[in-house]
Amino acid sequence: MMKQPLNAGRTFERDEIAAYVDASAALVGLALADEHREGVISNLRVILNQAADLMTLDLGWEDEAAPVFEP
Amino acid sequence: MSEFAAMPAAQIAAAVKQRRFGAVDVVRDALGRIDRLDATINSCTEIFDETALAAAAALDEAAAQGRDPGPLAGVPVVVKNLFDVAGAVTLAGARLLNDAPPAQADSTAVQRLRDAGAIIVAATNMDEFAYGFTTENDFFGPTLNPRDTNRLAGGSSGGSAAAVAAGMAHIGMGSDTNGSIRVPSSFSGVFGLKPTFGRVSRAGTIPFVASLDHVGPMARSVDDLALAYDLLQGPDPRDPACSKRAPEPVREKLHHLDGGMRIGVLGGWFSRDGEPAVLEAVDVVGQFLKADRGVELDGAGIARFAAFVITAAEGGNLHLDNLRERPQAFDPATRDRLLAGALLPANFVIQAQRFRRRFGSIVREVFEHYDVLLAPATPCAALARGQQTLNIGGVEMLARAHIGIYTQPLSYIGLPIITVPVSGAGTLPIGVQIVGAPWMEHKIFQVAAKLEAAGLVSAPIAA
Repeated sequence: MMKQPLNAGRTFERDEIAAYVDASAALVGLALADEHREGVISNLRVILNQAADLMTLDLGWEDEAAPVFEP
Repeated sequence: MSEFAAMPAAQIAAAVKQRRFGAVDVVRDALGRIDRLDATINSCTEIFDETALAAAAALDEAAAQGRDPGPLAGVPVVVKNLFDVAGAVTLAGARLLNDAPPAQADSTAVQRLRDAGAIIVAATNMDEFAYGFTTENDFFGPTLNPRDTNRLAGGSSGGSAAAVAAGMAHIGMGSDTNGSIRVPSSFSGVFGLKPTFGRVSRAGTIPFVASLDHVGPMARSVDDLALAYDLLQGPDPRDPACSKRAPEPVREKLHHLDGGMRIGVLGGWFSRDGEPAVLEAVDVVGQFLKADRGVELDGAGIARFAAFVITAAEGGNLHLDNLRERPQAFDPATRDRLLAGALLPANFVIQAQRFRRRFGSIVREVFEHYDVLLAPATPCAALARGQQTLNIGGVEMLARAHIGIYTQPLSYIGLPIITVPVSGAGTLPIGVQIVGAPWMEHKIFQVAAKLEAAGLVSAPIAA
């Protein structure tokens, strides 16, 4: 099920997450208060690092996203 | 001990119909228990004493005129405060919804229970927007565990679980996105059902993660749980995820378990990182059911993290407006996680939804060999107030981040699950998940009923 990960052995470091948080927060219109910023960086880092295995999965054409829209 | 609280729900309904006692008597008793016990336990956020007594009086009047007051006539019910109850503000545990207008109509679940004669006596406490496993709400305070008030009730449907455990109501409605019915059922020692995704309508509830949200009942007996579930089922055009399947009642089949049921105990992911007492509880249940051991669900760990990703992303998107405009109004325990979720790269989220389909196929293959699977519900019994860490096999881990390890991979693919409370003498209860294939609720009910009849699982009134 797993393929050789593109980022094998890599974990996201705090500073690169911080740069991403600042840039993406501006794009979605979130003005992060100073007292919230560190918590957001830390939470996003946890999520992305825990999802590392998910991003290495060898999914095929048939593995469509689960939610199905029924018109 | 209250005579009414200890009585099965069906027996109360029959007696109200036959006018052996009044629904008003039952509801007064439940309100009295709330009044006596909830100052300590803090399970209820709003008590509907006036409307409950008025509804009960109307039922008694209907019975007096020879009309059928319904299969739940006079039965006290509490609902997590994310269910719309007409005339009350739906809070979802959030301070920032405190000024919202009252709900105009009942949620579908509340309406169906009321139509059957149930009396909604209170709305209950929860983690803010259902994002947590402990019901330590910054605004309403923590809900304590009625089986040991030095401990937490679990969450996010902790108020409903605690109220049911304490005998304040027979049925407690909860919601479960990643384990929020199953975790408090385990910690507070009650039976809890998370039906198949799409089986029970969520219309009129404040969502958390639309693609993972379920609603379901909690109760102190399998029969009460089945009675509520049978009334809650059925299509509902108001919920786009609700299945068009006709109701498939389970109560009439509860004791029809045939000898051919193939049962397996999940190994691998589900047999690691739990306290010994938890794994022992699963073992005891598995041995009684003559279950195979060590059944593997390949990818369960990845499934857990995929659910984590979807949860953060959908939750963050859902609350984006308030996160932009009123971030200070959020519970600190919720806010930073929702903010992080709002920033998640799309590739992670889509990958998590694609793996959902793949993992569903893996699990379907396992269900070709088994009817029912068993797993622990939580890696530990109820957390002590203020407890930050768990020590499992000499490894220290953050308790709150660890509570959902066994529930999350299974709700990710929408399987029907009953958590049953196993308890030894003098020990805290531990929940075991009885897991079925999609739409096979009747099988998990039959197994739960067999365990209850054998005395292996039970949920006595706590206080």
